[in-house]
Amino acid sequence: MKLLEVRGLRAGYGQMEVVSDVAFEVGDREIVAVVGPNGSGKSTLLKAVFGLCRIFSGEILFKGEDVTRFPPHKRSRLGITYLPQTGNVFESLTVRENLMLAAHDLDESEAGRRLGGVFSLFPELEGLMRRRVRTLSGGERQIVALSMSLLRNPSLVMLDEPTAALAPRLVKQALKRVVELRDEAGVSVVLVEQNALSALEVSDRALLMVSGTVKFWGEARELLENRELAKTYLGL
Amino acid sequence: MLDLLVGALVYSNLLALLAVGLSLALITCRVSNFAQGDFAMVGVYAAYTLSVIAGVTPYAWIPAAFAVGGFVSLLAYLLVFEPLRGKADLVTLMVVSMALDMVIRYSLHVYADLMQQQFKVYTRLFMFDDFFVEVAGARIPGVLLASTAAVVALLASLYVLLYRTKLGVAMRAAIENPGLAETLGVSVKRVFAVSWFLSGALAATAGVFLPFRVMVNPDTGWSMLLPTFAAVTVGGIGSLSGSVAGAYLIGLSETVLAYQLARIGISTAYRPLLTFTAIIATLLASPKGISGLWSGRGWSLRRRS
Repeated sequence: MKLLEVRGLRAGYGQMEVVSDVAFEVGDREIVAVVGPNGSGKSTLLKAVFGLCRIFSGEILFKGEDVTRFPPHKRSRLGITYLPQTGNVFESLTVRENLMLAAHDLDESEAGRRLGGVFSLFPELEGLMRRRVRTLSGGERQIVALSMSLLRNPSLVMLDEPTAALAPRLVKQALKRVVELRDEAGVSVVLVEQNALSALEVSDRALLMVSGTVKFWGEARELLENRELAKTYLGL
Repeated sequence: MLDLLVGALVYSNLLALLAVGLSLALITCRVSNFAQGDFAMVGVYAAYTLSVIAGVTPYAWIPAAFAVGGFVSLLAYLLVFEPLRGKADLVTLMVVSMALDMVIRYSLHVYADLMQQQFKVYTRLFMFDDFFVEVAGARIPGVLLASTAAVVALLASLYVLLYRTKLGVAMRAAIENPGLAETLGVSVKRVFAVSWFLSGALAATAGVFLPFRVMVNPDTGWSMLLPTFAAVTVGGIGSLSGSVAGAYLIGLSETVLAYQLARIGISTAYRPLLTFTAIIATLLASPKGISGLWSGRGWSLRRRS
């Protein structure tokens, strides 16, 4: 079943069109990698799907409903969450307050139940609850950010370069978490990554963006095996 | 000497309420709101009108002034600043707030004329009658007690709201990073609307105390604007705790320095010279304002740049 369907999307900022004619879809319990060179419009695509930039034309359907003109908070309530590359946690708030905010529209028992689920996925979180986020390491912040997303009980998590702030030795671990999101939490993931090889290895399908347009859409394995595309655009 | 101290404290109390209100507008929509003084005058005329109608002291109408000032500020946000949020630059927002200042100020002039015709009372250059309390042989004016109580109660309530409630966490989050707050399902528009209501409500409450000390008219709010901006700047732009500290620093120093000028025979009309010299000196010593000294701890809300 199609969870997210994007058709003929043209989007950007002000009068500037950054992504043109983009079409792709995300199914249930699926990881879709969005890869491509710098400036190819990967992050803008995620922002457009979440309603954070201007949409010139096209359609975004989520669970069959047209959400193209919905404001971000309404998309969030429908089950889409978006983790920006930076600024994905509130630094002046404590970890507890960050999580509380993510669960702000839930009743206490539901929030407690979901928090229990998050603790079982990220046991290290319990010890951080009283700390202000600005005192945490890059890896700990990513865990807080992912936990906040999961508390929204999303069907679809969109991650914009989740490994960008991490030390190289933590990258594999972070991507393992992404796989756990799909396999254990049962959510679908759209993953924007600079580290194309690592991202394609854990993804089911892939979208290759070049200069704001789609160069490839299909099985992630297929893109990895396409020597020409992988070499020209991903440096693999 | 007692009168000097009372004057300084009352003035500082008013500045504290105005400065915290101005800071709320600054940290939510990045508006240097030139209409902040007008919200104070809305409070004055709301309390005055109700006082004339009911024949009861304006002190009784502080909650009503709070609500009316908050409502006018909320309207300003919803009709003017929310549609411009994220679209207009800082200079445009400032010019728009100047225009709003004129709109509210001249609306108050019209209202003052109508009120004068309707109730046959002075609606310009008027003062409120105060009560006095004898303490150890000294006559303490009611405005000192009432304004101090209002500052303590309102700022304590604001602290509890921001740090002890779900709405407060959402407000702090939306102030720090509105985009991220929105991604988590927080309606930033609603949260900022609450901030703007409080901004105008605090100013209007400050306004009610003003005619107990000086004669007022619809333009008086404008004269409060410069020291309010000074308090916010000295305190550290965007810091609520800094705004409170800045208000007392400006309020007390301005009054004391004016007294010293008068003693050596110089007109107190020149007191801004000393006050604003003090501002420059403070900012040279601590460029982020005095809240830069405790930035990141306690009641310090700042927006991501």
